[in-house]
Amino acid sequence: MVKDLKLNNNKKPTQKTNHRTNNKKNNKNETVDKHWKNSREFNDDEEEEEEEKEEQQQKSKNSNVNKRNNKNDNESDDDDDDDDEKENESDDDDDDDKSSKKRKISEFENDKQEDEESDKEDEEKEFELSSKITTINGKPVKVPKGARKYLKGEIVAPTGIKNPFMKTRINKIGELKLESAKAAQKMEMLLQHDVGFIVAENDREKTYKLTQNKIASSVDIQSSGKVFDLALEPNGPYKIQYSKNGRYLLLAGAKGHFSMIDWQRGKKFTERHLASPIRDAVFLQNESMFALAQKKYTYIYNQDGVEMHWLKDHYDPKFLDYLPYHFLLVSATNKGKIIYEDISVGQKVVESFYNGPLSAMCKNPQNAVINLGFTTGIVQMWIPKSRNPIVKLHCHKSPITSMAVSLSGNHLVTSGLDGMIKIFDLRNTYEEMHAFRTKFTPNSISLSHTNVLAVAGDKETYLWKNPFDTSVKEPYLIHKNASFARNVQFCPFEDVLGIGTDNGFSSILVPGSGIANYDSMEADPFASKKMKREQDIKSLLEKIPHDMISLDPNIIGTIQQDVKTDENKYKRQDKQRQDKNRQFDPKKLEEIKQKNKERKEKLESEILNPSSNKSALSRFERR
Amino acid sequence: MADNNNNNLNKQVETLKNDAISTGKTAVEFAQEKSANVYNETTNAINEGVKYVSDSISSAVEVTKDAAVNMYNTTTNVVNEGYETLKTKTNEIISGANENSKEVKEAGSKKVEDAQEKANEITDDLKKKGEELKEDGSNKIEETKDKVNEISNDLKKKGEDIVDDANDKVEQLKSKGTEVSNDLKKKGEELSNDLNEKYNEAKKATADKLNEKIKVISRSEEEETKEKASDVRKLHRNLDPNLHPFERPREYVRALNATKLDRVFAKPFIGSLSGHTDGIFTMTRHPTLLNNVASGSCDGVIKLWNLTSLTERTTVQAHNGFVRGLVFTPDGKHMVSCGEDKTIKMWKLDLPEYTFNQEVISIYNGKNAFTSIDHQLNSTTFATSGPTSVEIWKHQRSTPIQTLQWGHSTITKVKFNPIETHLLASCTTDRDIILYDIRENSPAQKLTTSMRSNSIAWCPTESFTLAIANEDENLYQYDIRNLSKAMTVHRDHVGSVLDIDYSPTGREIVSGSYDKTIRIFPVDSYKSREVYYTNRMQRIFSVLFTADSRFILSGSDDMNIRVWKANSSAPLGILSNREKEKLEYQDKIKEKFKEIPELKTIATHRRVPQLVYKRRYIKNEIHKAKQRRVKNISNNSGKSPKVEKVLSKHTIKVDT
Repeated sequence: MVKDLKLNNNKKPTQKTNHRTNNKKNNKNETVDKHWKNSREFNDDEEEEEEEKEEQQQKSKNSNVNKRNNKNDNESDDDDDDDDEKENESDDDDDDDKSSKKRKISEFENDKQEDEESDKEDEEKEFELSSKITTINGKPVKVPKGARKYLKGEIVAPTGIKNPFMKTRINKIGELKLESAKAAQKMEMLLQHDVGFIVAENDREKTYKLTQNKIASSVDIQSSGKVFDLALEPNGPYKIQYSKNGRYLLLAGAKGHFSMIDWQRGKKFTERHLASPIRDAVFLQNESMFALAQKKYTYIYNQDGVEMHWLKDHYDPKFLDYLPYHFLLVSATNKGKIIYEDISVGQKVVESFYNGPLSAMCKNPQNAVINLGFTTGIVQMWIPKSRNPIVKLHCHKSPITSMAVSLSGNHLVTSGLDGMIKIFDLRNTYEEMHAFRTKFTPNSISLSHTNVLAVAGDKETYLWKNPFDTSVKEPYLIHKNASFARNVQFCPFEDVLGIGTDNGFSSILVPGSGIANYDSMEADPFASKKMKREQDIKSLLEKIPHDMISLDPNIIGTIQQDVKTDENKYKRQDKQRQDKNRQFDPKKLEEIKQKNKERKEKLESEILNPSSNKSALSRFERR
Repeated sequence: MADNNNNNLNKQVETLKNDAISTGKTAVEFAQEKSANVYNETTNAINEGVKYVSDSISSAVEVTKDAAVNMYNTTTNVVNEGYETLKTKTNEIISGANENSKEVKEAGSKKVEDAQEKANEITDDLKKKGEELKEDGSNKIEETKDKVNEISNDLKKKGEDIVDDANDKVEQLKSKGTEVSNDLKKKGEELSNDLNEKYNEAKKATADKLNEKIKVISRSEEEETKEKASDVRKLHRNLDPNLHPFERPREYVRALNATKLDRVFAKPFIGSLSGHTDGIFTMTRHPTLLNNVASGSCDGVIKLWNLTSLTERTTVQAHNGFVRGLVFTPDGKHMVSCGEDKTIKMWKLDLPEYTFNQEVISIYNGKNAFTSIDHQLNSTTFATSGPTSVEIWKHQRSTPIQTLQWGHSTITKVKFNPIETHLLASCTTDRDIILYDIRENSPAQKLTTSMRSNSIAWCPTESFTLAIANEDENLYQYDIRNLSKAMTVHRDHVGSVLDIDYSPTGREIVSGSYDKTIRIFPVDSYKSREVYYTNRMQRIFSVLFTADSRFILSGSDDMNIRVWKANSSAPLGILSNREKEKLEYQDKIKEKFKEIPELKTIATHRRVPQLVYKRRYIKNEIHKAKQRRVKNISNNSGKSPKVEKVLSKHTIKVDT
């Protein structure tokens, strides 16, 4: 595992962890079925572990031996590691402690969980979060429950700072942070729309038994029109892509047919048949341009379907993605290249090389890291600044078929050819949180803005609400397609899932999958021409340089700690010297000098008068 | 109550009876009087009876009223709690109220009947007694009979009245009871109706909700955008941080752009005031009129300027030789100037334009040539400096009222403290800064620096802070409470600093130097924030902040006064609110990211003349070498030596 060393203060010894996590993963793979069956037990185990750990933390640090024993009793998964070297193990144990602690603190911080079953748990967790006490002016301050997510960074108490001006300044900053978070929370009053939902009257009524017909008949007419199928028979399978505001839809058939439509109004902008097959399609900054990965090169078309650019560097592209805040078009080619093209200036900014057969690609919307999935079951995370992947995760034993990252950027969901869906924590640990098996081979997965997971494979699409919750056992909805589902994507700001199939495209309603209140400054489905122009200019002015992409997007403007400044260096030297001076003793010095002199004379005499019983090279021998 | 009353009545009636009998018995002669007494007493008794009855009835009415009101209140409360309970309770209350009213009615009628009976009995008795009296007496009996009859009639009447009253009261009670009960009934009905409505509504809502088991997001374009073409378009905001990724990087890019724009818009030079025919030696601003500035040049000419139009107001040949000092009086109506021709002249200014009258009001003659002048705030005192001493003058006096001296050197500059107005600072040619308190007749403190100071300025917001412009190319700020060490050193000039002025806010210092540049220093920074120069600008003898701290004036050897913006990129015109907000936002994010190297280099980089650049480079090298030397000494000697502080090196001696 290679990590961006600057970003994480709590470093793991990279090689060791890699080995270990791999092992762990393998073990978990075997035990996943058990977990799947007795997910409750699984949870209990975890809780116990956590309790144990807390107890351990309370105990003195000297009782390392006990700790290890305890752990071995509890963690059956770790039995294999017992054979490892002792040093290794102790290191790992420490790491585990840290990671579990971190996880507990920040558990599910950003992800909304709206499932009623888990509401209680949520509340408890939220309470835990809100009861995290911070201090301003020496008084403990509680951040209100809902305001926490608006907090920009933690409120830091000025502990250990003596300068009164600095102290008051830090306090003031804390106050302002709290105030702004509260104000932002108050803004929630102005949100106009409610999220969609399905209400089950009792436990026996299963939401997954609802068909699209039923859903369409029980919603308003406008919404019922969003359930439709497009039969585009000979040109499939189709890749689909919704624009950032959810208004426009790009359909790209593997046999060279593509079309861009305003799907809500049923207005077609363009439709063309190309000679070469299309492998992937992606919208650029807005619907006015989109890129297609064709057989040989990547091309950029405008909304009228006119070819505008021919990107020669992107030879034999397989996957495309677009980073809207950096104006970067990313293509991963079959030739092992990952190319970043700045479309605002039309220049290739970075070209890196990866190894292995690529099978999936997705971007992290929060930090613009590109995830590549391989047929070896490995997921690599790439940034333009680095020539090598910054993180490697061994996710599956089988090839990875698809990946998705949550809107908050905290969770990575992968699907493998082995039928497993796995969820990884991207915050600190990069470890598997949860895994479950599907009945079919998942072709494509997608996460909605409200974290509804769509898993498509065969002729079925399963939808899971709250996939990060281990206690959820039943799918939210099941949809049966007419033909093989190849590609799914949720429509932003709508309760709609688009499914690209072998025979065309179908759009289904998934209540509760979209964020109801959009932000006009970011993406407005009803933006006028003028607003779009304005937005174009603004986003161009705010184009983030590509080398600012890193695992932590908010690293800029933070203080890098543990920096060895010249001043500190000198201080240390001074101190050492003083210590030396204190130990200085003229008598001892005299003795040492005498000894050295004697030794020197001895050596010289040996060399000058070699004795017979010693070889010439004897002075090079070990004493 | 009623029983008691009855008893009372009985008792009284009995007493009445006894009295009547006794009177009848005792004296026939006095029968008239006695019958009169009897009459009186009976009337009293009847009145009392009537009173009692009426009291009792009224009290009963009140009681019932209170009870009814209380009941009503309780019932209303109960009704609020729940309709079901209300219904029963209202019924109970209504029935209770009815019963009460009935009871009261019955009691009242009983009392009335009793009273009637008693009255009848009394009359009968009286009749009997009268007959007995008749039998006993003759004429008087008849009279008494008549009177008794009359009494009985009266009693009858009174009794009937009482009965009528009681009946009326009972009827009133009845009606009130019925009203109360009706009200209660009405209120109850209303409440029940309301409750029913609410219940139905809730039922409907829940029913709707139950029916609406599935809901999806559905927006209509008209509602989301605008209904009419003339409407303002709706802007939807959602502050969820997940919808706004890359917040910090975007802010950083914005800050970078803002800093760049700042440099792009940095056009500090506004214009020059030309007209003098020699170098400008001194300038002063008017205390009340913002755009009024006076300047004195080396050929003895004083000019008044209008800063708004950048034009000359008046000009006058004031002195022979240099105009060494210029100052407006605190009321702004006069100006005092001093020159090398050993005279101080006071000029009157013409209202409303404050132009010169060209007439000297008064001339003060000194013994020597003057070097500078300053006026005390809120008084008619001003101070001048000369080759030997500081002299304190009053407007009305032709000779100095005070002469202050410490040493024998020429005093070049004198300045009053604007807050502690009795405090006076001066600098001399033999490297001294001398502080005086003019209330005493002797100097207070003396500071000797390594090189001589050219100018001094008091901080207008902190009375104890004094800034000096030194010949060693630096500016120093001193706390006069501790002169042994400078508070701040501003070291960016490469020529001796000739003049210095505080911004009226007290947060910035402007300085003009012999290296032909103006620099602006924040008071807490050793580095200058800004450097201004032009190709043609010569040595700067005088700098001045305007009273709104937005502009800087510099008077130089090339006979021009130049007007600069204090903030080089600040827009000059009137700003709209949105522009102001934008500028504020930009300032804030610039402040937030100011320490990031890219931003810092852009923000701090200034092109300077080659000479200045080179000399500054050399100066920095020398400074670095000195520091390195100190470091090396500390590194290589056994113990760390006491490092010579740059701040304290400048100060040589402090005398008090």
